[in-house]
Amino acid sequence: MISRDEYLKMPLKDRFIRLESEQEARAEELHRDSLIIDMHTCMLEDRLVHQDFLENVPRIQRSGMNGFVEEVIPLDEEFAPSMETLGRTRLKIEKHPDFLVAFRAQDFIRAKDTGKQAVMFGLEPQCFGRHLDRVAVAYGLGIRAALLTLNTRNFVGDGCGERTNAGLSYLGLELIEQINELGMLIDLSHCGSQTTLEAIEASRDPVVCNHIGARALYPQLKRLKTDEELVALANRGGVAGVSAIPNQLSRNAEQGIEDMLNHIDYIVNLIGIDHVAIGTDIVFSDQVEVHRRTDKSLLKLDSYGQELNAPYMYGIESPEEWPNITRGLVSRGYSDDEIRKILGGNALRIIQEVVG
Amino acid sequence: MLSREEYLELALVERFVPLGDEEGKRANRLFDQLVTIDMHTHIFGSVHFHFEYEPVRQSGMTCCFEAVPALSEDFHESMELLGRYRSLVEAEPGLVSAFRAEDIVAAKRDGKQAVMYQLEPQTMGRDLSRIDAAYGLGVRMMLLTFNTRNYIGDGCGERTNSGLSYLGIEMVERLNDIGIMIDLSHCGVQTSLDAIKFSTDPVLFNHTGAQALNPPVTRLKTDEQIRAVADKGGLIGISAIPNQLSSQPEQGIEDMLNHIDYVANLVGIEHVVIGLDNTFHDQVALHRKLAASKSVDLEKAGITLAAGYMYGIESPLEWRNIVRGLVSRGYADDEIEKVVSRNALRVMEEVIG
Repeated sequence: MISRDEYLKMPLKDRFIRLESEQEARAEELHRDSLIIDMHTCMLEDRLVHQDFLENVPRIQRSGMNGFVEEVIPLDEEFAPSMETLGRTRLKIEKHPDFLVAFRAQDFIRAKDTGKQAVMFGLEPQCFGRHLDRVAVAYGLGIRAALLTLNTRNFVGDGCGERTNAGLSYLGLELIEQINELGMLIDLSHCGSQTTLEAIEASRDPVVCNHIGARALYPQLKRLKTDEELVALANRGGVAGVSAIPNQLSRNAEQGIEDMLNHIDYIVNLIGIDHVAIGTDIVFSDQVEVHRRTDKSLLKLDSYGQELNAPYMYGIESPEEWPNITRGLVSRGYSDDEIRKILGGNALRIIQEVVG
Repeated sequence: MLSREEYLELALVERFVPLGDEEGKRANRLFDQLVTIDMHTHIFGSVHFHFEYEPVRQSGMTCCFEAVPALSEDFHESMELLGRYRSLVEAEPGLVSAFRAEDIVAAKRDGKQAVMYQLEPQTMGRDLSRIDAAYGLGVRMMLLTFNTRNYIGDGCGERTNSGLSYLGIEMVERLNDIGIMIDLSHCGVQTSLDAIKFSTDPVLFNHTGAQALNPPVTRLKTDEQIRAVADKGGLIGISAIPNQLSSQPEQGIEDMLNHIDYVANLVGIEHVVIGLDNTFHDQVALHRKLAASKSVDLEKAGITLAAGYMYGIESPLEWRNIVRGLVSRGYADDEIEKVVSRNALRVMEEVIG
C-alpha cells in the first residue's frame, strides 16, 4: 500500500472510481448541476498546522461544492476563545470575493447561482457552559449549528466515549428549547446513545447527526450510530451525514470511498433516501496525524474504541476528491433524483426547515 | 410562633438550649477553650456579596471554611471572588487566612479567627491544570458538583443519576495529589459513591444531614452514602439550613442535634463535624428569591419552605448554642471536642498536610 504522501501525488483521475463513459458523463453532469452541501467540514481552521486559507481556496473550489457547514472547534469548551476563532475565520470569508457567509438556506442557493462557496458556521461542540444566554450571542455572531457534546460529558449530556451513558440534564432540555427557539441545527454526532435518543425526542425541530456512520457496520466503535438512534432520527425528520473520517467507518488497514458508500447504502436502506446527506469532516492536513497528536485528555479517541489502522482514506482524502462521492453514488446504482438528495437536497431541506 | 425579626430581638439567653447551672458553666468553658470550626460558611454572602466583620467576631468560632459561591461555575469569576475575600481578610486584624490545620490552632492561640477557602462548586471546567492555580491562590476544598450536572458528575437535583465522568476520576486523582479536600454535599448519589471509591483521601459531605430523618429532601445523604464516607475515614458536616433537616413549620437547633445523634449513632462520633451554611443572613428569603429567579428548583430538591428560620441557630451569636446542645444531649467533653474541631483537624492534617 502506498503512503499518504505518495497517494496525494497521484493524478486526481487515478484516485477516482472508474466508471463507464456513459456513467462518467452522468456523474460529471450531476456534480455540476446539483446543489452540493457538505454538512460538516473543518477546512478553514486547521487543527494540526496553520495553513494559509488563500492557498487552500483553489482546492476547495475544485471540490465542486456550493457550500459547507464549517465547524469552530473548542475542544476545551470555552466560550470566549471560540467566538474569537469564529470572528477571525469570518473575516477571511467575508474579505474573499469567492465566498459568502451563510445564515439561512437561501444563501446556499445564492452561492450556487453566483458561483461562490457558502460557509455556514457550527460549533463542535457547543461551549455555552451554564449560560443559556450565550446561545443567542453565538447566533448573533453567525453560528447556525451546535453539537451538544463532544466525546466526554458536559453540562448537557454524555459523549459517546464517556464511561457513563446518562441522558440529557435539565440544562440540556433547556438548551434544546433555546436552540429550537432561535433556529439552529442540533448535531448529535458525538453524543452518547442515551443523550442522542433523548435529544431527538426533546427537540421540537428535526436534528442531525451530521458526520457519522452506522454502528452495525463497525460494532466496536461507540462513535457510530446504532440502528435505534438512526431510526429515531429519521422518524422525527432528521438527517444523517455520512463522514469520510479515516478509522471511523472501518478498522481495516486500507480504507476509503468504498467504506463511505457502504455506510451510505446501509443507512439509506435502514431509514430511507430522504434522511441521508454527506458530512465528510474533511481537513486539509493529515487527519490520522491530527488524531494521533491532539491532546488525549480533550479528544479521548481511545475512549470510544478508535484504532488508528489506516493512514488515509483513498478516494476521499482531500476536498478536491469530492466529485468521487458523486461518482461513487452513480457506481452504486442510485438514480439522479436520489443522488441530488444525498449531495445536498436533504441538507438544504433541513436547513430550510430548522434555520430558515 | 415568632417571625424571624421578632425572634432575633429575643435576648440570647432565651434563644439558647436550657441547661442547669453546672451544665451551663461546662458548656461555656468548653466553647471558650476549644477550637471551633465551621466547615461550610458564607461570611461574604452566599449569592450576593456582603460582609460585616462584627457578626463574625461575635460568633466566637475559631475558623470558618468559607465557600466561594460561583454558581456560574466560571473559573475566572470564582478566582475574582476569592481575591476579594482574601483582601478583606488581610485588611481585618482580627482575621487571618488559613491554609492548613496548624494555622487554625495558631489563630486560636493568637486570639484571632481563621478563614479557609473552598469552592462551591468547583469551577475547573475541562482544564484540570486550574486545580494548581486554585491551590496556589488559597483553595483547600472543592465541591465536585452543584445541584446539576457538570463535566465531573451529576448533582443531587439532576434528572439523571450518573457516576463520575473520566474527567471526574482524573480530577479526584489530581485533588488527592495536590492536597485539596473533596466535598460531595450537593452531588448525586452515584457521583458521590464513585468519588468516595476513587479518592485515596478521606472525603466530606460538609454541609448536609441524614436523609433517613427527612426523606423528601434529595440533597440529604442516605445511610449508604454516610457509611461509605465514614468507611473512608471522611466527615459528615451537619448543616443548619432551614427547611432541609426538617419539613416542619418550626425548626431549629434540636433538628440539628437530631441529625448529629443519628449520624453519630450510625457511623461514630469520629465522623461528625459542623458545617452550618447559615447564620449570616436570612436564608429562607434567599431561597425564595433563588426559586423565583429559577436559579434553584426547590421542588426538584424536595424542599418546602415551611419554616422561616432556625430557632437556636439562626445568627452567628448562637454558635455557642451548638456546644450547649451537645452538652444537653449527653455528649462527653472529648466527644464534643471531636465534633467542633478535632475531627476536622484530623482530616485536614491527613488530606492537606
